[in-house]
Amino acid sequence: MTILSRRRLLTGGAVAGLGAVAGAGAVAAGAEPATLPGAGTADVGTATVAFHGPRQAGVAEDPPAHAAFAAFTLAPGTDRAALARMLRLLTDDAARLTQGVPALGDTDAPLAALPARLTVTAGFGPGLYAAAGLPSPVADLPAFTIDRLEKRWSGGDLLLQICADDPLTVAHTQRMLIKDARPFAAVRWVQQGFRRSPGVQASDHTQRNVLGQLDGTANPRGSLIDTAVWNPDGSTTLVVRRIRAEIEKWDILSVTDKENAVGRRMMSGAPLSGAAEHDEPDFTTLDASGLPAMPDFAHVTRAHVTDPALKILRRPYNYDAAPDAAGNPDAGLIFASYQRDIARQYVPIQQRLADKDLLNEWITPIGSAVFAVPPGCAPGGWIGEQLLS
Amino acid sequence: MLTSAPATVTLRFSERLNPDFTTIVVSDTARQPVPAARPAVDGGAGTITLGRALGNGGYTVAYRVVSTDGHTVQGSYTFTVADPALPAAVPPASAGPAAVPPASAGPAAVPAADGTGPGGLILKILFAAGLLVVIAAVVRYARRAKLPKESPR
Repeated sequence: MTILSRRRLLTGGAVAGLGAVAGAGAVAAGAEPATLPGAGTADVGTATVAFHGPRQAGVAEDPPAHAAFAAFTLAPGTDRAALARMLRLLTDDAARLTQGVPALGDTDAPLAALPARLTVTAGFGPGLYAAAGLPSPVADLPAFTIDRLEKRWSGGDLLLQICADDPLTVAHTQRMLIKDARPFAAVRWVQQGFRRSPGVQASDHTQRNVLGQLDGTANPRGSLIDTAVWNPDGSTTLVVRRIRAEIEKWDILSVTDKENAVGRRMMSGAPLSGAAEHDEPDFTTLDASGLPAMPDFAHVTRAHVTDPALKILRRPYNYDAAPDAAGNPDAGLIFASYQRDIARQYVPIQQRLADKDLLNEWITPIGSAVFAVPPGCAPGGWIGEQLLS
Repeated sequence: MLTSAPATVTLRFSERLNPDFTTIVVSDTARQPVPAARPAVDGGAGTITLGRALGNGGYTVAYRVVSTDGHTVQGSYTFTVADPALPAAVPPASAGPAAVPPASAGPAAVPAADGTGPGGLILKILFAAGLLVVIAAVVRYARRAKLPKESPR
């Protein structure tokens, strides 16, 4: 059996199975408005996102359900030539795997057959530029008073963001990429996260995080993503923060307390000054007693940005590791944000939140890393070639 | 009812206040906020100094603070300035100033004038675990001749 026919076989099975599930869902879901009626899951396994292009994939697309963020520390002595060799290899792997084709030397080739919207996005940390003898366009974030950063979740010379709608696809891709990076770099940390599974909600529905909050309402959309995210050369930047959620403490709060901390209704996501999720928060609205409807210490009040050029594109994933013996969750958010300029867009927001944000009572940043995301590449090219060749 | 307008409003709480999470607003019957600087916080006391002299009429003091365990505590009460030396209040279109029920659980404060000493409006509020209990409410007011800049301790 050739790889191609095996792939076809696997694909066919997946279509039949998912079709049955989707049909059952349509019957059971009833009046749940956020659920896609029946359709939409049939091609989940075989769906692909183009790898080649002037911008890297994995940024502006709707985030797939699963992600692994793998950060690496370059081996001592890695120079520009070695970096180029490594990135040619990793680019070749990514170009194949994202299209459902096994990587060269793929020891588990069948696992490549269902890419499930797989994207691989490479980011370069300050250390990679130092190794190449080049000035870095990104710098480590300033220390924020709320930070309790752990080395095991922080920093990195190279980042590979691997996203797909299927966790096995992510696992296989992570395995292949780490194998090929190993001669050049050690794994520094890997953070695995998840969102809602495909078909569970309409793709334009804002998803909830592990604290139950609708997360990402204020994201730029459509052409505004270009304004906020992409530099003319197709590059962007990425901030990855691991934010632990104190869910046990959060769960003690009443819904009203939670809403005051966030500044939005928990159910609808509407700002406390408005009625619908996408109503623009109005900080001049007063309640019946004369208090601002949006508390001045609420997360949304502090994080709010009106200038489209200063917004950030949040692309977060939840994490939920094993609880401790007492049942306390180890859960939170792998906060990932894309923006043109970290210092100009991300840092002022984070500084305001560090200065004052009631939500800080229940969230703690425990990891932090910054990466420049170089432009994409054409077929035959490789990520980073403008920089390193 | 106050026979002299307060220049400051002080809320005393049973827990220490975090200045970042303390909001105090005085509004008139038209629900227009009276200009005031951010509250000055001293331990469990939050004081706002009003940016203009209050005329006769009804007012609402509203507060939103956060307890040590993160619960938001908010509420409001009303008071009326009726200074014989000032023009009488223009009655509002509705039936006059009505108490606005506090947003959180617990009874609303009922301010009571004790008629002694110069100063502003002082309210004592106990809060714990999100419950608001008013244990005492004292109004102190000055003769209108000269309004003090700060509430005396």
